[in-house]
Amino acid sequence: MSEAVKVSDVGKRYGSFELQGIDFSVRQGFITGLIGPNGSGKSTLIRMMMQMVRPDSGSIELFGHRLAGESAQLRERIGYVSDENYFYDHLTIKRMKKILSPFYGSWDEEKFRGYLERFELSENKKIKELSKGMKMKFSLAVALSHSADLLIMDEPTAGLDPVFRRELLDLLTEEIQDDTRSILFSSHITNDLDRIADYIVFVNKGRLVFDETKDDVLERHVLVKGGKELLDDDVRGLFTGIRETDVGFEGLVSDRAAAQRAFGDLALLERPSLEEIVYFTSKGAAAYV
Amino acid sequence: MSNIAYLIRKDILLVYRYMLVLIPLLGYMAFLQTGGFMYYAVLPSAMMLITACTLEIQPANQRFIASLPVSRRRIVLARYASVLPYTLIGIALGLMMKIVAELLGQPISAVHWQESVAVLGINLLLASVFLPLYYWLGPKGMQAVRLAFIVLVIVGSTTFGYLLKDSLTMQRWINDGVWRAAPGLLIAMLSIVLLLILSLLLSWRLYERRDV
Repeated sequence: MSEAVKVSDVGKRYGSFELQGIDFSVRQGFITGLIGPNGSGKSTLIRMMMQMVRPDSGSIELFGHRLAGESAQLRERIGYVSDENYFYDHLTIKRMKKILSPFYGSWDEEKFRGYLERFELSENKKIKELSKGMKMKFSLAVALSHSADLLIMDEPTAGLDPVFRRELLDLLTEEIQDDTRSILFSSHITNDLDRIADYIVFVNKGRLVFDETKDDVLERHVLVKGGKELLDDDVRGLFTGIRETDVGFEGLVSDRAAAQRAFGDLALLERPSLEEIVYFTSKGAAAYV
Repeated sequence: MSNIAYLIRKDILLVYRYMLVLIPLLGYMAFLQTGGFMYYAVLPSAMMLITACTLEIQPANQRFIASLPVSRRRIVLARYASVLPYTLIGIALGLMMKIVAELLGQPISAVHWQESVAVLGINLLLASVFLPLYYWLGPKGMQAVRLAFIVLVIVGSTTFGYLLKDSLTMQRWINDGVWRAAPGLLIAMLSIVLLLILSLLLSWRLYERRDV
């Protein structure tokens, strides 16, 4: 399987925060979800792929080319959606498009106009007059209008209403249909990724937790619920994260078979959602209600 | 068109509205006879460079530039190259202000081609100092530097304009023609080119290392 992006042993230090030994891939023809709590390093990893941030160690390959020095032309094959508005606020959509379209050899004006119409964006409107959701729509229209082989989207659904969030997910599913395009989608709203992602890359506190297919992740993990009498030090050691109350507990175990052996029918074993996996992994053993 | 030309075009599209505000101010100054050709030409061209940089000082806008399929070296090179079109625009505005001043019955002294060369020299000098500071300081210290440069442009171009009018050396350069002034001119040009190259290398180094 070919890889649109290959991140190998990447590290970066910012004051007290450190990304360390990150390895993962964005497989061609698939949607990869990059998840993790706020401040876990998702945006830094994305900015490294865009060569906005240089890694202190390790390497990144885009379409089989190692990013080093002058790899700017590779960005022509990337449609990038930032987590913030990075366009010039005082310009209209029309003028902003006039500024950026010449940089992309495969810019498709008809397609761009089609997206403006679909997203109900007026090209005479100034960017500062757009709502957060509309700015995101404009950003998407730009990213999708130059036949990019890879879409890199940093928190694209943050701040969007549920209707457009659903529309966006449908749109991305449409875009991935031809099997040549790849999508990297970072989000802390894991429900979106539950719906569309093929692979999940989970980063927590600057470390890679896993890079697996979504089905494997959901299959491997198990949410255990039971009474407090079941917990002792050995059993607690099984949990990736646990939330205890006065009457019972619920916790995540990353090895379903081990959980089944330990609890049998004594506890309730459920398939967790991605949100629960992120929650319990981030909290670890610290949660007590 | 190369990416450098597109980057310069971007800057002109970004700043032209801000420059429209300057025109009535320059017209008013022409009426009051508070400036000469040098002032009318240097002020708008230098302001275009400073404004274009200021508009991109915010991290989000810097990310926009960095997301384009253009190398960082070319992005920096475009900033330096933009001095040429800005100077041409400045000279055109300077000539326009001369006409305005004459129409208002306040003629300013004749414009010599040497003054246009001096406008280019001043703008290149300014860019050579300003741009490495811009790439070095980023958003943090740039507000103060920008203000200092605006004052420098206003004071410097006015002083240079007076010097050009009143200094004997300058008058000799203007009156004697280019050949007799050639050695001095050559030294000045070589110094500016050398400074420009050093400044460009420094800006490349600073911007290539920077995380945006």
